[in-house]
Amino acid sequence: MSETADIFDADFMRELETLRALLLRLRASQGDALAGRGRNAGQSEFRGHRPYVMGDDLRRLDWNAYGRLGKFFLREFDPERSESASLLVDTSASMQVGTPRKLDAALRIAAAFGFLALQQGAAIRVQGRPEIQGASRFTQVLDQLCDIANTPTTLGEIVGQTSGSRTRDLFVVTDGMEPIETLAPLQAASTKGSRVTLVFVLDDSELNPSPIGAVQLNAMEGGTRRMILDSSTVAEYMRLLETHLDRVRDIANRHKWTFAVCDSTMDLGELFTGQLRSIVQ
Amino acid sequence: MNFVAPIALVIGLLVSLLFWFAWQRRQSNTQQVGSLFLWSQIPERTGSDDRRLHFDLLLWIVVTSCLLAALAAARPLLTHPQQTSVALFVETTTNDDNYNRDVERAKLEITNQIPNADIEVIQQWMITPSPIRTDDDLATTLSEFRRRYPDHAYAYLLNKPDAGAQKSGLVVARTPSPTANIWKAETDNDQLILRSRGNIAARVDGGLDLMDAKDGRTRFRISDEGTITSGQTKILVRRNPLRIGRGDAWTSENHGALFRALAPSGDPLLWLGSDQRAPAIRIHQGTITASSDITLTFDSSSPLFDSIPLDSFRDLNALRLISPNTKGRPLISASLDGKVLGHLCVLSPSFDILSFAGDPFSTLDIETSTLLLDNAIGVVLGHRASDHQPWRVQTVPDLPTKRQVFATTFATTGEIKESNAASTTELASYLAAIAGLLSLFAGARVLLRRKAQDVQTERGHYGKES
Repeated sequence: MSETADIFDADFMRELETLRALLLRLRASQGDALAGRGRNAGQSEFRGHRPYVMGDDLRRLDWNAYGRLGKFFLREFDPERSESASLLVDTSASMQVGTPRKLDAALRIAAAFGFLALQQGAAIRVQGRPEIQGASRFTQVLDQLCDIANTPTTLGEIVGQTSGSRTRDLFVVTDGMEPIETLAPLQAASTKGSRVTLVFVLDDSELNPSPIGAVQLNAMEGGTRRMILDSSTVAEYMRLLETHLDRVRDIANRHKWTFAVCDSTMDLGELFTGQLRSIVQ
Repeated sequence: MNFVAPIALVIGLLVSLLFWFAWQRRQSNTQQVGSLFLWSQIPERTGSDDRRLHFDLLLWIVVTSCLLAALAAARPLLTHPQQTSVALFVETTTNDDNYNRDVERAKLEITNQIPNADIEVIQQWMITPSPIRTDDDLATTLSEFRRRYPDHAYAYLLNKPDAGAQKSGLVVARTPSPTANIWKAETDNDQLILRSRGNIAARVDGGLDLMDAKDGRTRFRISDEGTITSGQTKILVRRNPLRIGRGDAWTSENHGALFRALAPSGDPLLWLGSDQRAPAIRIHQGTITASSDITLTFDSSSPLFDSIPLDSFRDLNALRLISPNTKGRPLISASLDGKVLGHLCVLSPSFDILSFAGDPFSTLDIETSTLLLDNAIGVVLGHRASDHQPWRVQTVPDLPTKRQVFATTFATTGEIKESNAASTTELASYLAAIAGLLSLFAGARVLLRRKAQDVQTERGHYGKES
């Protein structure tokens, strides 16, 4: 049974803080204020003006109104209605392999996304569990993630849960080692307006198998296969992997998903400022 | 070589450890994967040959390296007999046309004696041909030969067996088959005497008649010039007359009689008279001296006075004397009251001109004159006219020495004394070097494989692609 302390240890928490600082710097370098104009910004709907009183934030002064009227007015906004994001993590047996385990990496990536979403005022729902809102409740997200880790669920099953969901954001983490047809519910959700982020987490041995000769492959999902892992076999495997990922990439492009592929050792900062950069801006 | 040396033992055990690890690895070569989703699309292959080849190459390189290192640590020695160096002594002959053939025969004998050893003929020592060589000379030479090559085995190619040589090495007969060689040819007046090994088989041409042949001594009577041919040897017998020229001073009857008695005329070897040429016997070389009480002194050691009574010269009454200041060796001097007035006979410093102050050959009686002239010729020519051989012998080529002629065929005796020393070559350094190279090769192979995997990893690292 996965414990929160095991997966989301102190190092991970420091990594999240580092990630947040990294993203702030990234936005600053691109001209976005800390308040942000991001899609998850907490204040996005303009309500009106009110006279300036001492102590108000000078950055909210409406200088155009001052130019026309000669008085200071403050711009006021209504807090934006919270958006809901669903974290879907593949917890099937195939996620149990790898160093570190693909499941652990997937949970961390999902937690990092949840952390960033909560920071920006969004509500988080972890795989059908009660919705969580507020940055201070991030630990509940972690607990829920640990909870789902103990309930093996395939990609097909968790994606199937999205049928009929009107959740604005779907953040799906899996190893993708299933037929392409399992992504059909995601495509359906996408057509209904959901923004889909699909992250494939693979072990290094899956991304770059070594030609180690004769070997018996024991699958966590069941089944064995004897192979001669020579250079030609590895090349064939790489070709199949490329084809599979290209097909997923095609679907992602067609439905405007954000799609990322990483190995289980990848740094979170590198992932979120790289392949997932579009979803955190 | 010691396989229980600690290092050898440890490395040897390491080999068995390697095999154990390899066996374990072969037994547990399984890999956990998450899914067979992609793998199942690749045809299954279980070729055992592929597995063995792929696995074994590196293993066997390392195992071989370890075995060589263990062997090196055991310090193996390669023992082999030391090369025997043979010094070959060759006793030569004057007519040595067969030299190379005989040396090759000696080498063959040496090889037969030591079939498995490397033979190095480092010296072919030759005796300088000498007609007076004796067995003692040979013994001395052989002793010097052995002294010069103290670390070698000896082989001798000799004309005759030699006890000393036989004790110290292999003795091979220089003469493969007996031959009758002439070793001496000399004339005695009108006889030619040949000395040989056995009776010669010869062809005789010209004025030579066989008189007798016995015990290697063959005599011919010479009536005229002739040739004897025996095998490769040719003996020429030629005339050897003592030709004498006569100068103007030799005009008396005595002179004519002496001249005719001694020698025929012709291209002269000697001149009688006042001619300026040499060698010569000159007369009337002194000046008249008016003294009748002089005393004569003789150089009695001179061969000029052999068989001649000195009193014969007392009657010369020194009417003529050669100046005492004349250079040369005075043989008869005249003195008065202890003072040398002059000389009656002087031998020139070059010993080839004998000068008389007067003419003793006309003054003395004919017998004494004849003896005096015979002696005088002996003084200036080196041999008297009476000793002159009328026939001269010439041999082509030069005759061998008596020892060489009497060289015998004999069975090869003695033996090469092989070197008992054995040399060893330690192979540890070579083996260690090969083991090191194999280890480097194995290391390089592993590194290259790892690098290839890294490149493949980098190329296929999706997480790092933008």
